[in-house]
Parts: sequence; C-alpha cells; structure tokens
Amino acid sequence: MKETLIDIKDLTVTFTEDKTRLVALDQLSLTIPEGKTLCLVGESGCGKSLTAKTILRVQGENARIENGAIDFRNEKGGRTDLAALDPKGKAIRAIRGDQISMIYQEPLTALSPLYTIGNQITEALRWHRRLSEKEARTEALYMLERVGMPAPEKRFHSYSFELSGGQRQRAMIAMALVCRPRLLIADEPTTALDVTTQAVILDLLKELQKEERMSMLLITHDLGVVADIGDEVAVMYMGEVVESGPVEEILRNPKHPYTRGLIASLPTLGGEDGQQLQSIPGSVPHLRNRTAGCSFASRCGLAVSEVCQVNNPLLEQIAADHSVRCHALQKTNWPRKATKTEARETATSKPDYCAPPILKVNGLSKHFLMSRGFFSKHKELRPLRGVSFDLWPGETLGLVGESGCGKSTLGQTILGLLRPTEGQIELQVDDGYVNLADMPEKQLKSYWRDLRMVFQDPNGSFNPRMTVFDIIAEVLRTSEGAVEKTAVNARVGKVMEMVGLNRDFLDRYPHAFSGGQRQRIGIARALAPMPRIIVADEPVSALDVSVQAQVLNLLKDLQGELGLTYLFISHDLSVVSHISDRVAVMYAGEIVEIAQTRDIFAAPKHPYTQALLSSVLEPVPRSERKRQPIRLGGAVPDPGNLPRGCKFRDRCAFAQARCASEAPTLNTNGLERAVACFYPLNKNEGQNGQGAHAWQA
Amino acid sequence: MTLGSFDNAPLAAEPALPERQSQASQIWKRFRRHRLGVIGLCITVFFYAITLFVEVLAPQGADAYSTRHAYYPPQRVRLFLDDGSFQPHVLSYKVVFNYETGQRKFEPDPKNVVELGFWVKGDSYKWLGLIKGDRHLFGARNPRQKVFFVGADRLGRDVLSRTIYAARVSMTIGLLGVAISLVLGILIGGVSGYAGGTVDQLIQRFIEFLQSLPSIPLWIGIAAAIPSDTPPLQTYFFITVVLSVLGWTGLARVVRGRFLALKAEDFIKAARLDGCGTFRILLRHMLPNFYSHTIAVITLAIPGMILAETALSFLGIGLKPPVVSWGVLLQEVQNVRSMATAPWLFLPGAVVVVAVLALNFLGDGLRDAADPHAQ
Repeated sequence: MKETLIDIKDLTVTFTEDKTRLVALDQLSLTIPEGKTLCLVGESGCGKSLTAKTILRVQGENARIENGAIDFRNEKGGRTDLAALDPKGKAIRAIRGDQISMIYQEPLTALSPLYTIGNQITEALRWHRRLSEKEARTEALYMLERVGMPAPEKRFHSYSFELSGGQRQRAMIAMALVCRPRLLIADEPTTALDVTTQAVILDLLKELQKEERMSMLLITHDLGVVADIGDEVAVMYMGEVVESGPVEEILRNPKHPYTRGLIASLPTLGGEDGQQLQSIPGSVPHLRNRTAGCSFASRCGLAVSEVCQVNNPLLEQIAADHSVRCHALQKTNWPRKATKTEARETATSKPDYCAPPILKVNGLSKHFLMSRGFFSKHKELRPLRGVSFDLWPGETLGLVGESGCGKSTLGQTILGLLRPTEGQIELQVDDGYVNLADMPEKQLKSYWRDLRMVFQDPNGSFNPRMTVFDIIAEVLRTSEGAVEKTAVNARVGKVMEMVGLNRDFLDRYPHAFSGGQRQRIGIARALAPMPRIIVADEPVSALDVSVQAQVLNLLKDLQGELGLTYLFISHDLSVVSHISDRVAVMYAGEIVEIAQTRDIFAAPKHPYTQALLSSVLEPVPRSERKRQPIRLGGAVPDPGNLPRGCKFRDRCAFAQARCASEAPTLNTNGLERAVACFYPLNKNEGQNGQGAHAWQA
Repeated sequence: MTLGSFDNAPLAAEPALPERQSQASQIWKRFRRHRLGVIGLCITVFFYAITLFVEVLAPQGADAYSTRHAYYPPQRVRLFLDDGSFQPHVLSYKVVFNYETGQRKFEPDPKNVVELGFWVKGDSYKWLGLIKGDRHLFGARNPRQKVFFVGADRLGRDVLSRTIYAARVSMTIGLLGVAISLVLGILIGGVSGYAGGTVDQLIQRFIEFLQSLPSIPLWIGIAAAIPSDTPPLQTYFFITVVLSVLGWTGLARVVRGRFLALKAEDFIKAARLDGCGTFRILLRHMLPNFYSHTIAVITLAIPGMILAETALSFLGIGLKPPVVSWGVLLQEVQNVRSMATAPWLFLPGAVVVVAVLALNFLGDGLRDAADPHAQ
C-alpha cells in the first residue's frame, strides 16, 4: 500500500465576480501519494494552478474555500486539514516553504532582483530551521551543488538577472528544496525554457525526487512532460478531475473524450505529412457558463444532450487505479453516433520544386550596435551571420532553434522590419527577381503585399482601439492602388470566412475574442492583400494544445487552397515537423543544418540537431521511448561575444581541435541537404547517441 | 494505437458571439469601481458647473460692498418665524459695543428679520458677459436687504459670493494652463519619443534643466515682467503662460514614455507591414492609445496649476484685485488679526483643498481605469 501524503476531498473553491458566484474548483478530490509524482494536466483555465495555490493556502483573497478538506499527513503520521487553517496563521506558515514548497514557471519574476541567490536560499533555512548564518550558507552551497549550479560559490553571490534561464530555474529549485520539503509543487516548471534546458531540468527533478524521497505535484499542459516525469496523472477540466490513473495507463489507454482529444491534438515528431491533427472544438468556457451537466459536454463528440447536459457524471473507477468521469463510458448501451466525421478532405498541395524559388536569401547578416550609456563605447551584436536559403512556391520551411539563435531576427529582416547589414533577399516577381535588401522603405512597401507576417502574441499585435474590420482592412487602405470601399468590405468579409470566423464579428474589438480566435484574426490580416509568402513567427506557441491544433490545421488548409508559401518559425520541433516540408536548424545566427523534414527527423546529421531532437518529449510511455536522450549543457553563446571556430563546439560532445580554429561553412541554398559540421553524424550514430560514435576522417 | 482514434470531434466550431464592448465602455466600467474616483468626478463636475453659472448662483455681486457690514459674521438660516409659520430667514446682527474691553460684538436681532427666497431680485449682472439679469438663485427677498451666509470681509463683501466668483478664474486657469502645457508636451515629448537618438537625448537634458530650476523664484521673475498696468484679462493669460512654461515638462516626459512603449508593440510593427506611413502610424495607431492615459495625466496636472495660481496670487505676484480668484481672496487672511476675528475668510482655502483633492482622486481613478494591466 502506498501512503498518501495529501488527500484532497470534495474541495470547492469559488470566486465572486460582479456579485455572481463562480465555482472554480468543483468538489475536487485528489490524492498525492508519498514519494511519487502526480501530474495535473489540462488547458489553461482548468484550475490546475488554483489547486496548487489552495494547498499552500495562497489562493488569493477573492477565492473562498466553501467546502472540503485538504488532509496533509505530517512527519509523525498525524493529519492536518490545511483547508481549515488560518491562511495567515502560524501553523500554515510553518508548513509553507518547509514541508511543502513551490517552484514557479517564470523564475525571473519569482526570484527577487534585490537579493542575491544565496540570500534567498538561506532565508527559508534561517526562518524554519533557525540555523546560524554560517550553517545556512554551508547548507545552501551544498544544495546549489546538488542542483548542478556551475560554480556555486560564485553564484551564491549573484543576482537572479545575472543568471541564464536554466540557472535561474536551478536556483529556484535549490531554494524550494533547501528545507527538504515532503511535497514539492512545480507549476509549469519548464514551460518558459528551451527544450534542451527543459530536458536537463526534468532530469534534475527526477533525480532529486528519487534521492530525497519527496512527493511532487507537477502542473503542466504538456503531455510530453507528463510522460517523462509523472507516476500518476490527473486530467482536469473546469475545476474537476475528469480522468486519473497511472501515467502509462492513461497514455496508452485514455478513456475520457477530453484526455483523448488532448493527446490527439499533439503533433508527433516525424508524423505523417499532410495529415490533419485531431482537435477539440472550441475552447474552455468561462466559469460563468458552467451548467448542471457534464462540463465537457459542449465540446464533446460523444455527448448526448438529454443525458450529458443534465447530469454531471461521477468519477468512477473503470479499472484498478483508473477513474473516469463520463456518462458514455459508464453506460454500456451508449448510442453510437454517426462516428467518423470523415477524415476531412484536404487540398494538400505539394510544393513545386521544379519552379524557380519564390524567395532567395543570400548571405543575410544583421548587426546591431548596442549603446551602453551616454559616454561608453558601443558593443556590436551579431544575431544574424550570413544566412542563406531558398524558398520554393507552396512549401513550408520550418525554422527551429533555441531562443536567442536568431530565428525571429531572420524573420523580421526578411520582412524589412529590420534592415539587413549585408546580403540579399531576392523576391521572385513577373520578370525575374528584385532585391529587397537594399531597397528604400518607400519602394519596399509595394512588396509587403506579397510578404506578410503572422505574429506570436495574439494580444499585442492588434491595436486595442481598432475593430477587427479596421485591423484587417488597414493594409487594403494604405497600400498603393488603393482598393475601393466596396472591394475592401468584400475582401475583409472573405478572409474572415476563410479563417473560419463569422462576418458578424467584424465590428468587435480584439479583446472580446479568445486566444485561438485572435490568432485566426491575425491570419486573416495576413491574408487580406492576397500574399504569396507568409512569415509566421511562433504563431501557435501562446495557444493551448487543442487550439494549437485548430490553428495548425487552418494554416495547412489555407496553404492547400491558396498555394501559400510559409516560413514557419518555432521553437517547438513537433509542431515544425508536423507542418514543414523542409526544416532549417539555426544556431548562433547561422543555419547549421537544412534538409527535408523526413530526413532531418529520421537521421539528424549535426550534433546540435540531434541533441535538439532527443530533448523533445513525446507523450508516449517511458517504456516505449525510441530516442536516447542527449543532454546539452551550457547555453547559446552571447551574440556580442561569439567564440572562434565552430560556434557550437563548447557544447558539442564531438568537438575536435579543428572545430576550435576553423568555422565550418556551408551552402544552404538549393534543395540539397546541408550540414555545417566537420564531422557529421551518420544514420546509425544518430539513433544510438554519442556512445557509438566513430569519427569520420 | 488508440491514441489517434478520437474521431467524433466536429471541426473548428467556435463558441458564441464575443461581446461587443468598446475600450471606452471598459474603462468606464473599471472607473466606476473606483469609489474615490467617482466621488472626485462628482465634485469636479459640480465645481465646473458652478463656474458656468456664478452670476446666478452668487447671492450678491462680486464687488458689492457695504462698509456697514465689515467683518459681518456668518448668519444662520432659520426655518420658522416666531409665530410658527414656515419662512426661511436670517436675523440681522446688531452691533453691541463693549466699553470695558473696547470690542465690537455682533448679536442677532430678533426684530430685524431678513426673509429668504429662491429666484429673487438682487444685484444686476451680465451672465457670462452676454445676458443681462438681476435674478439670483437664492438670497434676500428684499433687494435692499443683504444676507451673508458665511460672513463678510473687511469691506463688507459677501465671502460666499466672492468665493463662487473666484471659482471661475481659479478652476479655468488650471484648464487653460494644462491645455497649453499639453500642446507643448505632446509636441516635444512626441518628437523626443518618436525620433529617439540624439534629438531625444537633447530634449531630455533640456527638460531636466528646466525641472531643476527652482519654480517659485522663476515664476516671481517672469511675473515681475508683467507691467503693473496690464488689464486684468491679459494678466490672467500671462499667468497661465507662466504656469505652463514649467508645466509642460512633466507631460512631455509621460508622452515620451508612452511613445517608447507603444513603438515596441507588435501592433505598430504590424501597422508598418500594412504599409502605413509615419503620419498614419502616429495619428491612427499611436494617438488613440494615448487618450485615456493622457486624460488621466491632465486631470492630475490641473490641481498643480490651481495650487500654483493660488500661491502666486497669495504672494501678490499673480492675479491682482479687482480680479477675484481663490488666491486673491486668501490675501485677506495674510495677517493674524483677520485670522482671529474673521476665520470665515478661510473659506476659499477650504474650497481649494476640496477642489484639488477631488481632481486628484478623479485623476487616480482614471489612471487606474485606463491601465490595461489593472484588473
């Protein structure tokens, strides 16, 4: 029998907004077993974070615990009901940060910039354990070493903003673990990190958990993370647990339509091309619209309104440890609806590689002079150094790399938002090519109808004072050859329908829309002048998985219908592998590998590509993992201070003497596969990792 | 594998129609939750309404004097006459001279009843300098009688009437001063924020220089340059200009900050990619995002102006009699004697406090409501 550390029973938490009572957690029951990791999964707004905060009793003044208990088993075996404690009282403060501690998504905001890392780590020790300054320091240094902080003595005196993202997260973990808590709550601990760093941090958490024998409550939206680290999983929807069980069981045999939808909407690495992603329609409804029936009924394909919209099903055990809350699975005689909403006919267009390239980028560089103040010298940053590639009509080129590798700079330079320092951007027009790189902005404007952009943040990219109509119509009104009013109206209505939105929405302001709808508006704006190329900069990374799948499907459909060419920038390799025909991997402002999607995912040749790929966490049970994980230390070099030779050599397991003195060059124009490495990996090695690597001469 | 077999999903159905709600109505909704702000708004609207109708609201003319009533104390309104009939009235004072102490004493005289009424005949005036009239909203029924609700000054002028008249000058001098500052501030701050680089540096250093000058001596210096025989109306304009010379710097800074923040927003990039020129970006995309914020800043700048005018006039270097402003009225209480014998002369001071606080609360409320990050 496993002991339970925390037993949440019938926990109901409500908010009051404009005098209406909103139920945020609805009779939630959960158990956190001792020494295991429980993952809470769900889209944003499902109450995952609120659950964690309520355990620590920091849920905010507006949130009221109406009902239920949070039973916490303390060290001596006695039980405390955390829900009954005074949130400002002594009892809960003795538990917070000592017995139960928490790490957050964004360590930069969770760590105080006014105190050193050491100061913040020792605080808990001095408060809870009453250690002397010296003892606390020894303990903190030991902890920093345990979490793998390089040069802990030095870092002890650093401030949070002096550390890299991964180091900051390590510091926060050290801070949370220094009192040896019995429960660690991790709220999206790796969401803000690059895949490579995420993999390293998850490894660290796993290892620490095992050694310290603590329990962990991990909140995430990413089923890949669940598969990697979880023992148990609870899927939450609108403040309820809809399915729970051991990770392997849930991933292999998901029952609830929501769980199945979540898993199906994830693009898989190297999945078949041209396939549509399954997605859950719509998005999580506002708490205001909670009904008496099953909360998922409005988005569920199995729902039968007479039953599902009237009664909320109970959480019932369907197998040992596996519980589901769904009418359809609990009744044997559930009506079989006309299943198979036929695999949608998609006009998949194959890129036309026989035609001349639509865009040729040659040796593109962008350098910045960074001013360090009024009287000091400028520092030169080089985020983009001689990037070349061709783009064929109708294809999608995916651009991947860690943050800071220059992907976004490349996108903005191609569009002309940033003017290139060197190189050519040649756009194919009727009579040959025009070079956009050294064109004055006035002239450039006429080509901006061909080359459009979709932004990452669907909030910030719309003027909050303009209606959706004005936002989409702006480009039609400003560009030369001014379009008539009636034609503008017709065109705006048309693109609105193309992206699957109702024309009636046109007089709304953007803030009235959900995240997914906003991103559709962003795509509609890009489509308005009938462009040929769309640069999409992380278009789905701010969205929930189910909505992400909807938007990816839309992009694919539009490409098929309109023959668009995409330059798709993303840090998410699964997404890129799903949507791209070819993939370019960027590192420190250069393309290090470029190839057909299938080739690059099957057998990466550059060690960096290989490491990136191996860091991707797929939602498959751990026992079915295919790839050997490779962990990259360090971080992308500072674009103001690049090393000599190969820029990747500091982090490369295969670096040789030659790599330090000479930088590999490559020609990435054309369709050929190209790798910027003196010692590219061959196929077998790519599969087995570094152990079996044999050097090529 | 069962993973991909989620095949009942209808595709891309979108939820119900999103709410239609403009930015302005959202700000208004947030503002209404700010209780102090709403109170501030009510008081401010009340004050500006007064400035429109001073001639009618004041029971007496601004310059009507009566030496008989020098330092006349406030009169209490009584509702019933001795015979028990309802008739609002005040009792006139009779002066009792105490020969031992040598002090005058005002005592209510029950025989001398001044009946009060609404819409009564009184001193004649020209409303806003346009329409002639002699009706007052309230006052003594008999035009030959006088009533002093909050007392009179050393020349026997009604303090309440004069305070009401002064509101017109004092409240509007703030508006006008802020308007001038705003034009300067938006122009200079906008150029600074939009151009950036060296221009920005120069403008910012100039602003810092102006802000480092001690303000009162500077005002005194500039005010001294106004010839003493300038007509009152011109002095009024001179003073507003003097106040705005320093007032614009703060506004320029705020405008520049907003510009810099807006320039980095994605939607400005999107506007550039839509082919908008500099002017279109400024007018259509940046300025509308400024309104709410600017209104809040203006509201917070007006009380500063009101206080500055009051201070200058009090020191005798701003507006001068016969112009009536709160600062001018407060000159009357520059000595201890009047403070001791006629504390009601402080009424304009109390009104300044209320007006300034109300505007500050209003500005705070607006600022919080206009901030999109506030809940």
